[in-house]
Amino acid sequence: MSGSPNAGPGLTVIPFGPQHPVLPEPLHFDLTLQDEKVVDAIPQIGYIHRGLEMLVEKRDFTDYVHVAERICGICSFMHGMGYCEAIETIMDLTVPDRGRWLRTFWCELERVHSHLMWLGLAADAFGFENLFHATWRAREIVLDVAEETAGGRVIYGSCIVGGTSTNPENETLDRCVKELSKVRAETIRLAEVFIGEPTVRHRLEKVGVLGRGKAYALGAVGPMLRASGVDYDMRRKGYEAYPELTFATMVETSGDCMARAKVRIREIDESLRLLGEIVARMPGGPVAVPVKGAPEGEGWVRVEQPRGEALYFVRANGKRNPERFRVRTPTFANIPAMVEVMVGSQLADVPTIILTIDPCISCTER
Amino acid sequence: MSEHETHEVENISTNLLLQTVDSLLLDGWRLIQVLALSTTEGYEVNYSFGGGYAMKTLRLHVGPKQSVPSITSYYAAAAYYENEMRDLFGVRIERIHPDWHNDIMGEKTPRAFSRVRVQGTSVERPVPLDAPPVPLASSPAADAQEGAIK
Repeated sequence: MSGSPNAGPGLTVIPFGPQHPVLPEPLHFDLTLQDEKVVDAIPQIGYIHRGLEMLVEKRDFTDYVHVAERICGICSFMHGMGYCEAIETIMDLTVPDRGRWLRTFWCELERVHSHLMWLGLAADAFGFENLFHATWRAREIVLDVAEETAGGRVIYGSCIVGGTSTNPENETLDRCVKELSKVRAETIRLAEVFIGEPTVRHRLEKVGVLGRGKAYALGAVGPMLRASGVDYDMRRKGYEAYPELTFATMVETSGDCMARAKVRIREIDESLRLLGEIVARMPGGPVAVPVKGAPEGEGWVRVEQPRGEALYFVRANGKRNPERFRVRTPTFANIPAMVEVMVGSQLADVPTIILTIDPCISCTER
Repeated sequence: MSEHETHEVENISTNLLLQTVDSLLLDGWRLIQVLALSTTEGYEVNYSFGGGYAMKTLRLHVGPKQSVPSITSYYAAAAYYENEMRDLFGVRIERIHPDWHNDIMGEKTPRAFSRVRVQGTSVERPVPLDAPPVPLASSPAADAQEGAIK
């Protein structure tokens, strides 16, 4: 649309989204182009804003967990858990050991499911449909495990204030680990294609490079930050059973789309290994403590979601319904870095760049 | 170590905000989030910064008609939080860059090529002389008249 009041001489402004083949959710950009090069990108969000944060004022604090889980269909469990942890901080509740370890199990399961989903979407975005189908076939096993252990494939519904509402038997968990070993074998096979295939490398290597300093300064989180060489993972901060577990943080240094893909692929493998360790060391006993009274005070919690650090804030005044709930999602934090990366890239690379931050617009809109 | 043990909340006055943010930036802290709450006296605004795994929150109490200076000249990523905060809560924030003019949630403005998104971008784009006479500055009056894509 050269000649539009938005464009200067030699510049063209084109809309990207909110409906676009590579975008699973609505996000809009005004891309200013000079020939095929992006010289400016202006994001617009708000297409699916639901006001879920405000809904906390009208819901009982124990019931709101179910709303928090529905912020996002991919990291649903961790949204519910982040909210619960904030309430538990305020009420000084200690979740029993088995409850903490079960929560950690579902966190890692969600990370595997989310990363596999992303790998499939990314493969689809650059036209590798076989890889997309193979990745999602492996993901299906993870969803089956989620259903068998928590009761839900997308919305787990197993996290409550004070612990967990479901308590799968140890035999079930052992059987699930055996099933997940198939995912691990499949992931190794898929990783070879993803990392070694020349057509994939051509689309991802040296594309959308985000330097270490910029990634940190712009507030990037999760694989976006770690792919730029910053060793930062909120699990190391220690919540739920993580202080008792040893795990590797995946870091790459090249900062391009391939680095972001590699971080996620390696995290799948590490999470699958962690799942085995969690089940092997799963303690017995109760999974939840009774919750009495109503919260009064404020709680801040940070957790490492599949897309990166998420922050939860709850303020309550002693009534059944809290005053304010706030969630700063990883995608919201990654938008400035994504815009930074897009500027200077080729138009054809924009879909790949957007997908490699693994955007979740449901989370962003809340 | 649990999260809340390494979190400091510091109450500061509005006129000390930029000075404090400047010193945090120089000390290597990065922005984690900005959030607003409605209170009986107006608003409470919380700016959270991270240094390693530690977190520090600056807390401001502002009246309903009081303005808060934007911190976008120190932390570019703050623009998204500040625009959203103004859009959803009505907190008055001065000199946000870029400024979505109360429309980051996109409820008032027609979609693509919206004139409000021209301003405050990182690229200077002169308007061609033969362009239609669309006002570049957004105003409530202009927004009220706007009903369709120009």
